[in-house]
Amino acid sequence: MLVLLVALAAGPAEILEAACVKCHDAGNRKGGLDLSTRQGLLTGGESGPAVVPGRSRESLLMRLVTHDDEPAMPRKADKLPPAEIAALARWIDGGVPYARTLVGRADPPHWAWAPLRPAGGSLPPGRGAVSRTLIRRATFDLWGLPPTSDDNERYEDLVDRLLASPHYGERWGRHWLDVARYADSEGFEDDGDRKHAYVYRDFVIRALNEDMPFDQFVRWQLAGDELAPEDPNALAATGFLAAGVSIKLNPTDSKENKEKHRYDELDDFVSTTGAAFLGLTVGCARCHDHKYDPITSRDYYALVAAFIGTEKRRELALGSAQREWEEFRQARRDEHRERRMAELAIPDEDRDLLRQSLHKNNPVQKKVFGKWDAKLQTMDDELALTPEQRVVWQSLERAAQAEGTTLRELAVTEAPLTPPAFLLARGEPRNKVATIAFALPAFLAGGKSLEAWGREVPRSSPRAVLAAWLTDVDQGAGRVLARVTVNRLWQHHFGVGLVDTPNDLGTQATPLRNPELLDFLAGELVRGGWRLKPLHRLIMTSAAYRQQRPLRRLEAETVRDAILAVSGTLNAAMYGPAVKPPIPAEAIASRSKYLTDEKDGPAVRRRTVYLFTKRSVRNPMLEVFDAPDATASCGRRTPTTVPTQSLALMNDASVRARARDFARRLEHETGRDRRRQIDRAFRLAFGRPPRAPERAGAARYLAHASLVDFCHALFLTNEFLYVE
Amino acid sequence: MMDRRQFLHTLASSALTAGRAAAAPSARSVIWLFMEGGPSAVDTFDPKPELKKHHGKRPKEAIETFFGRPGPLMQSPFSFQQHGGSGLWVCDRMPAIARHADELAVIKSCFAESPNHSPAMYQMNTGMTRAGFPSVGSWVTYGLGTDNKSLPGFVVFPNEAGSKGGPQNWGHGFLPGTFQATPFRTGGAPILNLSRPSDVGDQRALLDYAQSLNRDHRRRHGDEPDLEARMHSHELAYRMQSEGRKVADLTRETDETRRLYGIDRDVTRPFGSKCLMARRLVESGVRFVQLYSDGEWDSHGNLAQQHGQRCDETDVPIAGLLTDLKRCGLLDSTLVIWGGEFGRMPVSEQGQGRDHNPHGFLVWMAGAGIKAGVSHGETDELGYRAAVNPVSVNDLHATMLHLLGLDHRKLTYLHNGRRFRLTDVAGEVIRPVLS
Repeated sequence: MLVLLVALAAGPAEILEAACVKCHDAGNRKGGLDLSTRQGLLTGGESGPAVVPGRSRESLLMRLVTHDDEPAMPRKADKLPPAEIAALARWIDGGVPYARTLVGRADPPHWAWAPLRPAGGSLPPGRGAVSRTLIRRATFDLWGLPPTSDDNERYEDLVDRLLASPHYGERWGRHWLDVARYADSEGFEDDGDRKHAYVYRDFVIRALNEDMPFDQFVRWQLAGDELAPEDPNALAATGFLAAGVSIKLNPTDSKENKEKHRYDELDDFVSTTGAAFLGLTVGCARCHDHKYDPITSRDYYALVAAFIGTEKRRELALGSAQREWEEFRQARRDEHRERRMAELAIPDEDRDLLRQSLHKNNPVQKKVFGKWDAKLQTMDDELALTPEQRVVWQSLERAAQAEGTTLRELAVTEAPLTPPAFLLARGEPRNKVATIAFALPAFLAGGKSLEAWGREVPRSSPRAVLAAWLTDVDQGAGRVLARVTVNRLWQHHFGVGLVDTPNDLGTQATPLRNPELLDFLAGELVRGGWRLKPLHRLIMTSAAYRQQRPLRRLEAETVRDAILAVSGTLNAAMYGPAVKPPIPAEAIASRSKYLTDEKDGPAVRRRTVYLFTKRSVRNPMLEVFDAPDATASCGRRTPTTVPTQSLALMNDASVRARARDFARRLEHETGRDRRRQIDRAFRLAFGRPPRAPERAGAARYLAHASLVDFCHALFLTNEFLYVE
Repeated sequence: MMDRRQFLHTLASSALTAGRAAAAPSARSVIWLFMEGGPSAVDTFDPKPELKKHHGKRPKEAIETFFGRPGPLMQSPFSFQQHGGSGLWVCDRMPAIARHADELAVIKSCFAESPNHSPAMYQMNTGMTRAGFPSVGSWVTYGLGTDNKSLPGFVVFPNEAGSKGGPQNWGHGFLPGTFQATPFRTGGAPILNLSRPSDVGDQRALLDYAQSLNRDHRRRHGDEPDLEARMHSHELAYRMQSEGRKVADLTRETDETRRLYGIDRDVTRPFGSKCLMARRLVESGVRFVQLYSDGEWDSHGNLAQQHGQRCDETDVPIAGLLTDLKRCGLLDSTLVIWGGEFGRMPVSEQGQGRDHNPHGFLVWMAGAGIKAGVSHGETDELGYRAAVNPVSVNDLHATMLHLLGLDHRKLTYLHNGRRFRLTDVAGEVIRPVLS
């Protein structure tokens, strides 16, 4: 017996623990089978006894592990090696001895969810001469614009200068706006304009320029309204949630249809949050447990519950001075109302009803209002104010007006009454299984209770808890957020990330190149207080960044911005309402109106990040160069090479107009000297002077062509459209 | 210059590696006549005697309408006759299409999910009621590429009044942008940016100069396929300026052909021009052409007038297209699809209109691989819900792909860690309508 026990310890037990017991233990009992004890093995499961002791050939377990019978075991894993199968057979023939209860061996956690490796990696700095290529690469990388000078600047100083410029936020803000599926309109057929959506876009650009710690950046976007309700910036940040599409439903729409669209909106909140911050395709679990990642349908609806009371805010939201003034004003109106009620000798019970706001389904109150309310209404100038009150009134009014921006249709808020959230079968609002409460995804949750999280946030709302958990490296999912974030950074610096699928770092992610580096960078981000700029500096001064790399085509916005910059007509004004450049009528195939009075003037020659993004009327120049359509979070654009891009570059009226501006600029800056014109043109377009044969070639072409055509030709070159 | 195969590979490498073959293809190309707004089944090809019998009465079953003002049952304002050997019923406002009754396979039991226009249109085009997924035409060009290198593979003629839900109806979703539809127009230049700027000198010389810089640049950067592809793309674009115009130039057709499509009459000219251009595109090797009807089938107020008007605009052009495809020998290789995003209610709305009905509506197909002169499935006796052999949008899509030789279960694209399909996890090929 002793011999057998030793044999088991060395062989079958480990095989079973590694391959089988995870699913077939007392807890899981897949197929009704528990292999963790001898009794469980002999009792068997739904398909009968798993073994016949002493007779391996007649044992179901053997037929399944040899794949002679269905279902082949172990499930979703490689077949056991022959030596292990033979060991199992010997064990069965030997009477299936158990020395102990077997415990399923859990897989090591997927790399994205594992604890961060202790600091150990590094990113060696680069040395050597600073080439024009490197200057051009760094400038496009941080600004999305061509370089403005090639002075003898130390490379480290160049990087610092680029990072300090507000162009940095415009460039990297645009990267984030892709992830946030940001647009300036509602989507669907009405696709009404969101005239104030830009407040969120401005928040993003400002936050990046100020190097707001990324954990705060994330927390505010998820729950700024809860975490810092007095701060207009925190409210603006929640435009992240509000940025998704919204359908305009008819009041008479069926309840079923309204509910379906509400769950679509909730899915947008949950899926975007998962993709943007956790690199998780949470949305897959809307209809069934995730097929690959350990997210159950229950996890999904428990996250939906975090947003169940979250509504896009459309009413006027007031700043603190405005609120103060409004409160003061309301108090004076209430006093006036009381005086009038006394004058009119309204009965006491009616007065009580008149003091409350009118409820539509209170017939008694409605009747009372019908009788009196008109007589109680008053204009502001009819209020009898004391001189002291008048002074306060005026100063508050001035302060409120000075506060400026009112926040509308850009943020989210919590409904006063939180409706129940439901677990839906197959994602169907018709198939409500049970109500469900907010919970963190089990496989990432960590040990801390929701109550404990709740005590750490100013309002213990689920969204605030979610935000706190997401950004906590020690007890929450902060390590995952850090990995997702540095991977995005790496991707935008190098064209490809350390993982190619930036919105999916789950088990289906593409293979991770260099795990040590990812964890090193994630650790650096956390150690550096979640500030991005030091990380940009670290990456950009590294040897890896400075060596030669494959070419990358400029993104849609960068193509347009570079053309504007080279032609000398870029309007560098920042922030504010989005601008609608003219779009040719024949390019509009939507029912929704695209109204603009703008002509091709300085007002529309802003950086592309400030252009109005109408979901159903896409700017043809940007669409053709693969700008995302803002329907869902986009972590990575797919660059294409199609002839309609060439047509746009050859024939688009605004491209041609910029070629004319470019030519005028050359004449203005260099006079009529051909050689100087050519030199200047090459420097502006390519960041380098022409080589001698190029100078000669340009002169030959210019002998028969206009300077405008020459300038236009440069826009069609790969050297202009690609960065090394 | 890079050779064409290499160029195509650059464009569509992902498609070339995707397993996707089904049976031998019946169809080489598709013309989809999208009747935007939702044409009514009971007023076009599927009359219901019960509606006549109970006209003006309240239905027994509660009817859930979109705008929530269901009236009594309403008989069709049109009269019907049976046509051809198949005996297909066709309303008297489609006399020209009626002559093709024996070429159509009418699927009378379609159902969809949404009673709202744009989600329903997204579903009919992409399988999903939300925007952002690849449209059928994108999937097809991803799976099959295109046969004409001077024209795009997927062309759409939008509703002149603007299509509800906009370009996401023919978007590429998560597929590469290469598979996005190129919107065409009738009249003038068919594609955006096809006309040269008026002040450009010799554009060929301009391009030659740019390409000479590109050649030098490529020499300095050896192994970069995208540089080749872009140089090729410039040349293709240059050729499209003339090719695109040529294919759009309907004056190259005979008067007889233009009359066949109704281009000689104001009422039929717009849709007739789209139909004739569709034939010319398919003839030139374009894979997938989708034409949206102009104006609305969305007849809430006065169905007789609104549907009547749409019939008048499209009847002759569609019949002309079928006739012309047949005589050119193209009907054998072209799948023609007619239908909207949903149908309409058997009850009246505002007295003489009908509300949206996603529960039961019809689509017909004709041409390559289609069994001519059959009908498949039925709605209930009022035409409210699909009752016999219900056909989902996934089923319609599976059938379209099948006819093109693509297996809807195998045409996949890896996105966000999962292999996506046009038909998600459902869809059955509708065998009874296949020849």
